[in-house]
Amino acid sequence: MNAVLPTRILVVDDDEAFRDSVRAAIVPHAGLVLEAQAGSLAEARDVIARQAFDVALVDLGLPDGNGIDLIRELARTSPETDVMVVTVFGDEAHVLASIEAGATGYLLKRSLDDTLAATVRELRAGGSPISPVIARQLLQRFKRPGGPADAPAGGVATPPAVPVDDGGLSERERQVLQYIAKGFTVGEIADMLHLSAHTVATHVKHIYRKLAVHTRTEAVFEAGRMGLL
Amino acid sequence: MGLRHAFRAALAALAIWAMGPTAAHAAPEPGGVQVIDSAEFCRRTGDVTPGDDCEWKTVPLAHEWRGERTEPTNDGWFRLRFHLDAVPARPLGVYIVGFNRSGRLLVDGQPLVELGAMHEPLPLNWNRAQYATIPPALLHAGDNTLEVQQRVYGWEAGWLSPVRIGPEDVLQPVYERRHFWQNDVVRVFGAATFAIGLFMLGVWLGRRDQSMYFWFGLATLVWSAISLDYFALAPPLPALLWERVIILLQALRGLTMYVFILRYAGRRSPVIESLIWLYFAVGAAGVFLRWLPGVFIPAWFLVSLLVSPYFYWILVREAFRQDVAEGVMFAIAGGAQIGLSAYDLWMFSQSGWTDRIYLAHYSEALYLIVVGWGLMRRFIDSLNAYEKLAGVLEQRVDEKAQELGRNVEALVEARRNEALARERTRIMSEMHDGIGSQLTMALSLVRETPGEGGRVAEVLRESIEDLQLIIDSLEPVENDLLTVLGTLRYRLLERLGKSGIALQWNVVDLPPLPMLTPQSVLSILRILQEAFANCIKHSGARTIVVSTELAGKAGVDETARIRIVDDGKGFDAPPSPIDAPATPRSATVAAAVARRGRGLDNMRRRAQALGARLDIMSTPGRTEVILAIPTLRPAPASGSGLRPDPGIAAGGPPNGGVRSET
Repeated sequence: MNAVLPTRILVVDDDEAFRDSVRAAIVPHAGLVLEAQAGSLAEARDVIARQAFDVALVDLGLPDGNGIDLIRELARTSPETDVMVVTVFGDEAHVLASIEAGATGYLLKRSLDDTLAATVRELRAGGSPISPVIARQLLQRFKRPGGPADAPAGGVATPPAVPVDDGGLSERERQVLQYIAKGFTVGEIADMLHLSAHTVATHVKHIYRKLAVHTRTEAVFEAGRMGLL
Repeated sequence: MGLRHAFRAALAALAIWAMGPTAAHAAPEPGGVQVIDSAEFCRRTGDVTPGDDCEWKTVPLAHEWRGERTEPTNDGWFRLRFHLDAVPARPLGVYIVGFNRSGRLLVDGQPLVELGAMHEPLPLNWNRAQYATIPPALLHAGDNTLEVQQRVYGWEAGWLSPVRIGPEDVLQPVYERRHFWQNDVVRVFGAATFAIGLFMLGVWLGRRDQSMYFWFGLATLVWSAISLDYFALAPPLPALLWERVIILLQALRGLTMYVFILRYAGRRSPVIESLIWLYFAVGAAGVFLRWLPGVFIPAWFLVSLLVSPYFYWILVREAFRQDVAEGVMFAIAGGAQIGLSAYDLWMFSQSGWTDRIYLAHYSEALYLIVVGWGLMRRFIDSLNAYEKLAGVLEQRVDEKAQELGRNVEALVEARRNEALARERTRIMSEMHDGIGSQLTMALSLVRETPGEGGRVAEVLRESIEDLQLIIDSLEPVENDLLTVLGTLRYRLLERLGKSGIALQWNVVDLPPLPMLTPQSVLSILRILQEAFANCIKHSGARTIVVSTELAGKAGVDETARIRIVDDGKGFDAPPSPIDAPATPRSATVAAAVARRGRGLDNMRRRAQALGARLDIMSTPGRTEVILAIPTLRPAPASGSGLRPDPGIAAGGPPNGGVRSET
């Protein structure tokens, strides 16, 4: 798939040692090339303005600002770039915020050597990683009003922080999220739903995109309501 | 001319028109009673019995007479003769069915009795029979004379019905029976209707918008005033005024009843009611001002009588609409009223006096009591309905209050969760950007440093893993134990893959477990991580099977169970020959065994702190670790399927599909 053109990668992180280890992880893989590095938000903006990338690895804690802003800018200016947020723990708070901003993947810092290449390839092929907790949170976000799924026991349902309608989440996508939330792997889900593992991973990426679109729509709605637009 | 007389004449005319003329009767009397139906009559005012100089003439009884209109009172004298074969041993009774208004009886010139005061105000005797006893001493064998002095007002007529004379024990019971029905019963009915009328007015005072109660109360009170005329000896007003008031009250009773009926049926009509009061005003003027000819009053009454069927029809129809039983009762009472009125009309039309008594006022009382009962029932029904409604309202208020309470609780819970989430995010950020990043950096530095970094790297890696576990325990899992398990699996996926161990995920849905707080999730994660670590590091297993199940009874001892089974060599496996104590490696092995023992102790301790139970069964080739966590769910309502759904929520395929996998 990427035999002809190598995947151009940008890494944005203020930790030089980390950037080095990214390089080290990329070097053995012919299809990947570390095109540029940035140690700050300003540097990153500079680089993005001059050059296009296939994948951007973005750390959230940058010395001159929040990586979320960079992710949002990238999603707007170069939608063809896949953004992966680099996190220490892959926790739901960081990952979901990034996905809402437009990221479609995430990477654990400490398992870089083992997973970077595979995750980047999968992402370029259209599949995104996901954890059970994130799947459960996504189900909450896309909760059908009054729907049976995930309704807490005991009657009065406290509305989720961001109550939305199904937002176009398909039945299949919902199913995938439900399985993942219960600890099933992409491969197992693929077998149960008679799909390829790749297709299941693609569903996840679509869901991420829907969440981002939904969040943007809602921001516009909110802004309009507050008289900002 | 007496007004009542005119009224009666009108009724009689109507009855004759309706039924044709009827012959007067003269029935023979039993028990030695003589009926005297003719007398000599002369008119002279004064208490001295007139002599032959008065113009005596023979008249049939009953006889009606008039005096001078200009005089305040007039006296008339009747002389009745009766024959006795012998002087009786016991007193004789004298029974007079009709007598107006006051007077005296004399036997053979001897005063016998006064039938009421002989001076102003004269008693009200028109509807009262008279009875007297004649002692034997006043009588003699042969012809005897009974003289009757009658005193009436100048504006009215006097009358005397046929007079019966006979044994006391025959006549007195007849008189008493008549007095009971003619006067006493009316008195009782009058009192009853008076009470009903007051009650209705009281209801109306409390409910001014329900004017039908007012009109019915008024009609009832008017009736009880009229009934005075039937039983009272002395009217509450001067005699002539009373006569006029009675005439108007008779009309008023009908008219107020008509107004009531209109409102009862919800057919309030200003036009009809105006006509009714105009009609009444004309009649009142006619009665008091006397500027209209004498035929006016009868004509005036006839109008009211002729329209009455219309209103009865409305009343009965409305009652039927409300309730069949009420309709039947109203129809019977109204029918009795009409029937007995017709009977009275017929009686009025008779020329002679009989023992019969007027009955319409009994049906009138019955009619008022029945309608009043209907109204009272309606009143009570509305009270009951109100109470029921109040009960329902109270219940609704309770429900609302409970709902409000739940909402407040939910709100408080949401606030609390929000605060927790904020704090969690803050701690996460600290760990992520602070210690987490530093540890990660340290790990990568150590890895790059050649030499004896291996042990340090191991410690750093374990630190990061433990930190990861703490972070994971803080993640929102929505009380789903499967998500907790799934998270652990997600973290271990890479290590499992490297170690070449196949994992089977045979989980089924579990009910939400409210006990899954970050603290208990951390304990569960540590217990399970230890179990997995044992499998991966020491057991040499090729396959691990993770399954969940629900056991026990909800509300009693229900537990959610996590079962981890591996096919490794087990904890109790004896050391292999090369691991024999004598060899240099033995210390390491012993240390490993000791460490593993400590690990198991830790797992048990954590499980105990959770209130859960940990069972470990280990044989070579199969080690089973079961963590049973109480669900603490209340007992299910009967019939609801609370066993875990074998499939995935919202229509996923059953997990059998997973079981078959390897």
